[in-house]
Amino acid sequence: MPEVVRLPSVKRIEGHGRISLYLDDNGRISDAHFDITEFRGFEKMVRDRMVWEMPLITSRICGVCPVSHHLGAVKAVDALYGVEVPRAAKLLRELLHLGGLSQDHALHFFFLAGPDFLTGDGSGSRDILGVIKGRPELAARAIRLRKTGQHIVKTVGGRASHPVAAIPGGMSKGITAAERDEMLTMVRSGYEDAMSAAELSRESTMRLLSDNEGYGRSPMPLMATTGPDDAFELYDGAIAVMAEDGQIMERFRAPEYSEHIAERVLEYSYAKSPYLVSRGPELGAYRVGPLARINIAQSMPGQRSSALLDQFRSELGRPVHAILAYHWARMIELVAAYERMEQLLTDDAILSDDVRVKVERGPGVGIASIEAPRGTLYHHYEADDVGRVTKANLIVATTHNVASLDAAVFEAVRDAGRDQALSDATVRRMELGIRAHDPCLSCATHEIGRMPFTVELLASDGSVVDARGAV
Amino acid sequence: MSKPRLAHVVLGGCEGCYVSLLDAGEGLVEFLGTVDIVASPILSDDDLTDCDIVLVEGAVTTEHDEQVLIAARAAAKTLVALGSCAVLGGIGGLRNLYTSREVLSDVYGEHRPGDGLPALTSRVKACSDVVEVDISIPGCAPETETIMAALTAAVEGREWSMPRRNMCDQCEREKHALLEHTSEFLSDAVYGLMELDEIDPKLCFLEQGVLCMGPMTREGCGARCTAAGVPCRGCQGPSRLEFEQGGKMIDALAAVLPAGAIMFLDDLVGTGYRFSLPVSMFPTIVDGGDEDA
Amino acid sequence: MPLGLYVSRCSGRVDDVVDIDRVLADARQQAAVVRVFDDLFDAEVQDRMVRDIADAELDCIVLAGHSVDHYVRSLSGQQLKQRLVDAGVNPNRVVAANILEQVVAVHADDPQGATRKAKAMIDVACLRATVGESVEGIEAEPRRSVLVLGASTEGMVAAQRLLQLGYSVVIADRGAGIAELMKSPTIRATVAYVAGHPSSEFLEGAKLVDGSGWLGDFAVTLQAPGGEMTYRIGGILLARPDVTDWIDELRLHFKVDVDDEGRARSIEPATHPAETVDPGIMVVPLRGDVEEVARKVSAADAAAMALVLQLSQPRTIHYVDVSQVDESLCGGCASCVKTCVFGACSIDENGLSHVDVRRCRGCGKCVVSCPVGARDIVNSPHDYLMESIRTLAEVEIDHGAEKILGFLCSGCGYPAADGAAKHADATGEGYPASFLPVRIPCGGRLDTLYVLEAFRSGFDGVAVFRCREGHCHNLVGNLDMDRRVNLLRTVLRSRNLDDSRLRIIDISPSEGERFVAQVNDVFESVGALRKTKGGLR
Repeated sequence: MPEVVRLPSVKRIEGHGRISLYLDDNGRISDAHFDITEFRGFEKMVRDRMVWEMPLITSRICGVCPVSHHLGAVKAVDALYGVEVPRAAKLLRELLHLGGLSQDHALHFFFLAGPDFLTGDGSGSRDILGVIKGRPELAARAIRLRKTGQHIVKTVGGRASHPVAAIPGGMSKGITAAERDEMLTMVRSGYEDAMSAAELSRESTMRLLSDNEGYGRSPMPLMATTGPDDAFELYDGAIAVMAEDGQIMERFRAPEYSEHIAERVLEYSYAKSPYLVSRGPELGAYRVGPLARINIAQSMPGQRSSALLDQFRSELGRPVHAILAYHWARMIELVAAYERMEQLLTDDAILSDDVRVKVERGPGVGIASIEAPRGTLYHHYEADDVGRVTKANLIVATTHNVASLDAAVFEAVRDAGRDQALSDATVRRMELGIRAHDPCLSCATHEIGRMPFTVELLASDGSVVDARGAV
Repeated sequence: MSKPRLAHVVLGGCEGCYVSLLDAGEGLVEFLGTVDIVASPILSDDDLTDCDIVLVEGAVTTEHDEQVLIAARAAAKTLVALGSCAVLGGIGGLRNLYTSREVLSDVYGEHRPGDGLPALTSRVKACSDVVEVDISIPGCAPETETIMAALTAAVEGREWSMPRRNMCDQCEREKHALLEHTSEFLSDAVYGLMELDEIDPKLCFLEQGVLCMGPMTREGCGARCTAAGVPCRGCQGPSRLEFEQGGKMIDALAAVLPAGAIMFLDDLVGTGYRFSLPVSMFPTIVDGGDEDA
Repeated sequence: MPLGLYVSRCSGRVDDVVDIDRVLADARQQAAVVRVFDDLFDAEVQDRMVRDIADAELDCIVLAGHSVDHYVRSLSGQQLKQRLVDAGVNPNRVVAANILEQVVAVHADDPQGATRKAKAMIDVACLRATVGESVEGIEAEPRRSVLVLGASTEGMVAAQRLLQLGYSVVIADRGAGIAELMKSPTIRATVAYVAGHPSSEFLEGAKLVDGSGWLGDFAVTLQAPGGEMTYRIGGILLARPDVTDWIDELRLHFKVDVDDEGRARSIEPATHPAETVDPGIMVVPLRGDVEEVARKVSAADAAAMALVLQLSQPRTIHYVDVSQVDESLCGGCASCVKTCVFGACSIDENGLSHVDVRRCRGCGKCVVSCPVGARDIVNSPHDYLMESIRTLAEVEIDHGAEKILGFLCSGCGYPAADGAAKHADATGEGYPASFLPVRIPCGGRLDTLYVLEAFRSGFDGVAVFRCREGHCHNLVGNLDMDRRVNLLRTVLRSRNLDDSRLRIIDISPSEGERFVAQVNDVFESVGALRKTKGGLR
């Protein structure tokens, strides 16, 4: 009788999810999914709220990347009112964004995914405690990188968690020269940590790829924001989709997103699965995030990251579809973020008091995107005459990757028997593949609640045959 | 003497509290040396039994959350509700303005997910709605220093609580018109922050005609938002849990800003109850509540 | 806290309707002494109470029978209360349970319902007596000086009497009233006496611009062409109740009832024609033809006499209605400053709310506006009001009936409910016993939490009876309440609660008949709502 297996809660990811494995009549795995089990319902909750409150409300979707939602929302409201924010505000927002991204990347690499490969075999528990114990110098680097990122978020955004200072029309406040100097000093002294993380991620990636020969390489289109001439860009730009063969297949601006991306509801998950309209729901899967961005980028913001990109391409080629290379791409981005932060902080325009324009309330439609640490994030709002939200739609980074996450699970267990599927080695490989994406389930599930990451073995009628799970 | 066993479990929320805890950096590393962490989102394996302290982050949003919380209470000598979702139900509690059926069908349409997913509770609940809570650390998210102070107290077996005055106590903005004995409203309308010609960096937001939740909100956050030029949105919840924030916002501001403007030009419900709807006297909609979602 | 519960049969009127044994079935659990008498105002009964206070060391007294207002407005009630206070019970712990006017008189046709309601009313009064904190009065020797507002015939006569009794008098007139009066042959001698007396002072073209204090120790600032002058006086005598300018100015600082024409009103025209709700402020009663001198003189005599009775006491005691601020809660948000029309609240140098008790009128608006509950009103504390709502919610009612909570403001709603008793006596027309009243000092004391608690604890509807516009003792307590209620409607609707379950009703103290009609109307509309939309639970 066909069955489905659900594996225990996958931990060290942001949020709660589970793995479901489907067994056919011969007892072989015939399908597998990574399911998101949370639901919070933001799109419904924000209706009737004032649209200018969106940056403060939707930032609460995620405590790990609140900056992305804060800025995604504020850009969407700017778009709704057609305002052009002063240059200083743009610089400050980008700085805020990169501060958030750099702490997030460091958190993921060292503390969430890193324990799988940083501490080596058996040299400590596979978690943060293992890193602190086994590699204290790495823990110290991680703490410094995070501290710098959070310091920038706090200084520019007003608070480290759920920042508040980006408002429609600009920023609620500027920064002082003393604050700028302090941030600049921290950024400049952070290169060493960032470069060392990049090197560590290169070594780890190369080792993971050879240890997991043939795993996690299914080609998919890649989507990312790009700057002029497809330069690496995280804050604002057009969106490009690169086909499996490395050719750019689509380009569009955020307001046109619905012509290019559609979402379908999954039976088994509280996340919706977006797909490329041009390919249809069955074949429209694509990836976002560091791997997509590094694949698409034609140039990097500074010499260090340019050299790292060259090295990445010379080792792995282009395009790279191996999901385990996410780690390396992520740390190249960390270096790029530091370079860009230095550029922003040395531009004296960032000290200007002219940080906002007045915005009048009214009706409208506003759509914007930003490159969140995990990939392209879309915020779409519609407001009535007094500025009350009548409709909201959010497509968050992790949901773009839902198909890739499913593939990461399925590739680890394809045709495996039941015992093999539930073996420690297989479960570890699935977790490795999932963590490479750095899924943020609180983001993915801005729509609803949550549950821990479990694996369940299910019969085809949906009944649970076996399960591994924490709590 | 063995080290205290500490667990950290996460229910429905954004994990921002956990990030704020991680922000303690070296301080956290030091703290981790004084306890045995037995369950945490950052650990690979959890052991939620016989804990001295269980930190609970997030609100009860699914039946599974409820089971975890009950298990946490059973395992814990001291249960700490960390953050406004745990203490007040939090921002996700705004879902209580609808039935769970409405929310699900609105987000997913006809084909809503089912397949073995944990069922949503009919409403979002604060931890204290389900189990007894020993220490509450409100805030969205609480400041790193606050979390560490509360945790240290819990480890040392000391009592700890957030100061209880309203946020205005910590806010440095100046009041002028508010202190005058006149019956005039402070403003003839209510404005969104973006609508101000200038955001006065020193003046009380209410005096600028902007709704600020400071008076209705418990201090302890350090008034970071108002210092950053943004009005308080009440994330710390009320000074006394039985004083509902939205109701008190009405009582406090009815003589301060014009009621009609608050009603038609702003969002009374979404601002007044943004973080604390689940601990309101009416935590959800009444008449035909939803049972089966 | 030993409590004495005394129930009056009101000469048989109560036990005609209510089964007193059932009402008192478990009263001994909460009261140390429980006694039933025909009439609580009987001298022997009062002696018995005084002995009980000594023997059982009673701290709290509940007097079930007549209305709360009976102890404010009638001599028998005032005297009884005074005796209990003299015997050692704190005045804040002598509480009336109104089972006469608001139960038996209006529910004569429903003995079962009336009995259950009477029991609940007594429970609530016991709660009030035990929850209310013991208050200490501010004692002072009254100033033997009076401000007479209006140089009318009445004013001059009253001034003359007061001067003759050794009081000093300030007579303020809006115009040049004295010159006019000197032309009148009948009053000329009086005017000359007053004008020539060394303890009198005239102020013409005067306006009252500030006032504070209480019986025996008022401070009033008058503005006249010569400048502003502040007088410290023991009493105020309004000799021109028809001059609404004076009344409007007085009302900015003191509690003065007004009638529908805006003229000052005494607490009880028949028995206390000169006394206003603010002790120490007397009004010369308007009687019939104002041109008739004899009447004016007797009215002036009455007012002067009433004031002399007060000011000739060796000491007066003023009880402050508002509590101290709880410093662990007050963050200095200044909501109270903005809401207090009397200018009594301010933020002190430590950033804490401070009440100038000389300006406080005890309306409770600052308590409601305080978002942290840092302050309370001693005669209707927050905890008492919340708990009384829950207590009343538990009253059993007939199957299928609606349960309505009525908030009655002390200025208009409560006396109107008492007035309904007269209407019911005359016509037999009452209202359902599942209308359960709570007295509040002012509409402005209505906290949104009380309305929410009422619905939460199971009431089908809430009706607030409050003063008409312009009649609120506290000037705008009723309007502030309206603003709050309108905002609260938004909250109710957000929870899918039909906001027509919450009704605000304007009423005058004399409108007993209309009170009955309005209560019945509320039952009808809430009943219709319940049939279409179901109950709240």
